Amino acid sequence: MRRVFRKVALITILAATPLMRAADRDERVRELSSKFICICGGCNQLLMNCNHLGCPSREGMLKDLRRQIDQGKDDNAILAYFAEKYGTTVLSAPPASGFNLTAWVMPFAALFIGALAAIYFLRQFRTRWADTQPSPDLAKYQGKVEEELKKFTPED
Amino acid sequence: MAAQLGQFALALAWVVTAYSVVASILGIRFKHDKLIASGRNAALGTTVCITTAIICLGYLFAVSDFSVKYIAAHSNRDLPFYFKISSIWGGQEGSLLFWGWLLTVYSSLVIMQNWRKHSSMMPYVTAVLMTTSLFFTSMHLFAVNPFNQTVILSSQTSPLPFVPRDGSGLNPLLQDAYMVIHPPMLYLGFVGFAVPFAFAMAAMVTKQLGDTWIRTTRRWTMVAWMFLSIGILLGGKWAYHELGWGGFWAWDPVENASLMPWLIGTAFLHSVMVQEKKGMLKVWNIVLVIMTYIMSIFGTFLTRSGVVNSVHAFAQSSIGGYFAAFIVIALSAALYLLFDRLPYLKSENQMESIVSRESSFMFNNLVLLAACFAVFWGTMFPVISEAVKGVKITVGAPFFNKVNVPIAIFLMFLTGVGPLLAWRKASTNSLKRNFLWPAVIALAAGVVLYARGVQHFYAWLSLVMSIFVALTIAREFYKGAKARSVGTGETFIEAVVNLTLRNTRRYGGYIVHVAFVLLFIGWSGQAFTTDGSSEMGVGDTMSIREYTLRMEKLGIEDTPNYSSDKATVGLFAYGNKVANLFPERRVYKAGQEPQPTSEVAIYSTVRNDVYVVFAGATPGGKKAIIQVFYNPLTMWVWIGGIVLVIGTLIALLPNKKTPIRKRQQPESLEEPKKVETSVS
Repeated sequence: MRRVFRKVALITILAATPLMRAADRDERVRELSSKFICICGGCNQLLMNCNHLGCPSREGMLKDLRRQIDQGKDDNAILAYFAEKYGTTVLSAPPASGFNLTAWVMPFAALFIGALAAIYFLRQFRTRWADTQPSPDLAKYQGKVEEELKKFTPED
Repeated sequence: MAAQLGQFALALAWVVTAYSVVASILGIRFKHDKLIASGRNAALGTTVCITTAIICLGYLFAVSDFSVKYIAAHSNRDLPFYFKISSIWGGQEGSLLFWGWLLTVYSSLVIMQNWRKHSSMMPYVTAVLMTTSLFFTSMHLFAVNPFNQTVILSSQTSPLPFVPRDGSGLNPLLQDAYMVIHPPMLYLGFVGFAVPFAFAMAAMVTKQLGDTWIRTTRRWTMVAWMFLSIGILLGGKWAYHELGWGGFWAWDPVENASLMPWLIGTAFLHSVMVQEKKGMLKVWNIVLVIMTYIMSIFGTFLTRSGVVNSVHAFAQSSIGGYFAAFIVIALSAALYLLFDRLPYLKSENQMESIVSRESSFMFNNLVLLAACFAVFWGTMFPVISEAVKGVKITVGAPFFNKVNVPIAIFLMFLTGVGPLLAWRKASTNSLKRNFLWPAVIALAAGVVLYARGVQHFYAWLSLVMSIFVALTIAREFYKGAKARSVGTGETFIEAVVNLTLRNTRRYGGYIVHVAFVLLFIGWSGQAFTTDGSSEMGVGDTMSIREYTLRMEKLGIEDTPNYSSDKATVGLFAYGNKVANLFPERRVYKAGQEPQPTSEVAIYSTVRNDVYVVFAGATPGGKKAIIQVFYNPLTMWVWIGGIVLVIGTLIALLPNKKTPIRKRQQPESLEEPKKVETSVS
C-alpha cells in the first residue's frame, strides 16, 4: 500500500513539476515585462501592457524574455541583456545607480528640504508672533474682543 | 470662400489683438480713458474675429473642402459628422486655433463681468490677456495656419493648388466619443488659468495686493480647475476605452503635462483660503498662480515640441521653440514684477502654531508641489540624462508609481486632517475629539481588509486612509447638520442640504474631498488587476476569477469608414449569463495605409470591470485571440469624477441666505431650553 502511495506521489510530483515551472515562468515573465518598454516606437507602453494591433516588437521581445528565463538567468542579468540588446531606453525605469540615482532621490529630497523650510518658516513666524504679543493684561481684553468678534464672523 | 474668410478673420484678429494690447498700455500710460475703452472694445472684437475663423474651419470640415490642407489631413468624406466637427481640434493647427478661441471667449467674459467693478485693474488685465492672445494669434497666422491650401510641389514650378479626392481621415484613435469632449475640457482648464494670472499681474502692477484680486478670481480658478479635472478624467476614460491595454493612466508625458498645472492649481485653491482668512501667504499665492499658468503653457510645449516621446505624437511639430520663448518671456516678466513688489506683499498675520489649519494648508501645498516636482522631474529626466550623460533613458510608469504613490497617500492623510484643524491653533482636546474615532474605525477596517486578502501594502494603506478621510468628512456633516437640526427643527436631510447651501465653499470642498476618497478607492483596485488571453473559436470558453467567457459568434462588419472583425462573447458570472460583449478589431480605410485599432468591450460593475480585447486572429481567421482583464473597483474612479464635478459646482454657488426656521415652541409657559451648538 505504502509503495503504491509512494509511486502515486512520485508520479504526481513529476507531472506537476513542469506545470509549476510554467506557472513560475509566467509569473516571472509578467513581473519582468513590466520592467521593459516595448520598442515598437510610438506607443511608449510597458512590454506587459503593449497589445496594440500589429505591434511588430512585442512578441519577439516576449520570446526573448522567456528564452532568458529558461536559461536560468537572474533578473539583473536579464535587465542587463535587454539593455545591451535593445538600448538603455528599453528599461521602463532608470536603474538606481550612478547619475540615474538622482532621478529617484530628487523628488524625496525636494519634499524633505521643502518640509525643513516650512518648519523653519513656521518657527520664525512663531518667534516673531511671540515677540509681538501684547502684555498679559492687554491680552486678556484682546481675547475677549476676539471672542466677541468671532460671533459675527462665519467660520470657514 | 470660407477658407479665404477664415484667413481674413485671422489676419484681422491679429491686427485687432495687437491694437488692443497697444491701446490698453498707452491708455494706462497716458491715463487716456477713451484709449483704454478702445483697447477693451478691440479685445471683444478679437473674440468676434476668432469665432468667425473657427466657424469657417468647422464649415470647411462639414463640407469636406479638401483644398484646405488641414481638412485633407484630418478628415475624409465618410467620417461621421460629429467627428468632422471634433476634427477641428484633432490636429496641431486646429487645436491651437481652438485654444486661442477659448482664450478670447474667457477674456470677453472676464472683461464684461469685471470692467465696472474693478475699473482700475481691468485695463492691465486686458493687456495681459490680449498679450497671451496675441501670441496665439501670431501662431495661427504665421506658424500653424489651419487655412493653408493643399498644394503639390514640383521641382520646376512653384507649388500648385491641388484638391485631393478624399482626405487622409482623422486618426482612428481620435474617433471616439470621449475625444469629442476631452480636449475641449482640457483646454478650458488650461486656458482658464490665464485669468487668475492676468489678475495677479494687474494686482502687482497697480500695487493693489490685498485680497481683491484673489476674491475676484476665486471662481474663475475653480472653474478652470474643474474643467481641467474633467479633462484629465475624460482623458483617462478615453485611454481606458480606446488604447486597449486595460488601464487608464500610463504616466505618458502628455498626461503628466496636464497633471502638473492641476497639482499647482489645487495647491493654489487651498492656500488662497489662508490669504483670504488671515492675510498670509501672499507671495506664495502669486508664485502659485504664475507657476500654474506657466505649467499650462509648458504642457502645450511638451505636447508640441516632441522633446519627450509620447503617445500623443500626432500633435507634434516644430513650434515647441515658440512656446519655449513665450514661457521664458512670461516667466521673466512675472518674476521681475514679483521681486519688485515684494515690499507690498507682507503678511498681515503670523503663524501661531504648527498644529493649525493654516499650517496644514502649508504642508498640503508642500506635498502637492513635491508631487508636481516628482512628475516634472520624471518627465524631463530623459532629456536631462541625455544632456548630462549623453545617454537617453526611459522613465515610465514604474518610476512614477513608486515615487508618487507614497506622496499621494500622505496627501490623502492631510485631506482628512487639514479641514478639521482650527484656525490659529488646534488644542489637544479638539484633536482627540475630531480624530480618535475615525482613526480607530479606519484601523479596525484595515485589519478586516487585511484578513480578507487586501495585502498589497500601498493599496491597503490607501484604502485605510480613504476610510479615515470619509469618516472625518461624514462626522463634519453629521455634527453640523445635527446642530442645525436641533436649532431650527429641520429634518436631518433638510439640515444637511441647508447647511451645505449656506456655506457652499466649505461643504462643496468636503464633497470634492469625498470624490478623492472614491478616486483613491478606484486607484487602489488597480493593485489587484489580473489578466489572461486565449485563442477562442465559436463555443470555446475561458475563465478569469468568478467570470467565464464563451465565444458566441465571430463576424465581419463593413462600414464606409472602417471594416471590422467582431466577436460576440457571452459573459457568465457564477454560471449565470450577465452580458454579451462585442470586442472588435477595426481597420480604418482612409489614408494610404490601413489603420488598425481595437475597440474593447467592458462589463462594468461597482465591484469590478471585465475588460475584453479583440487582440488578433489566428492564421486562417478561425479563432480570435481574446485578451481579458479583471480590473477591481475601476468604476469608482468615474463615480469619483462625477462627485468631484458636483462638489465643485456646489462650491461655486453663492451662499444661500436661508431664513433660519425657528423650532415650534411647545404650548407651555416653560422657558425654552438652551441648545448648545458647536462650531468647528
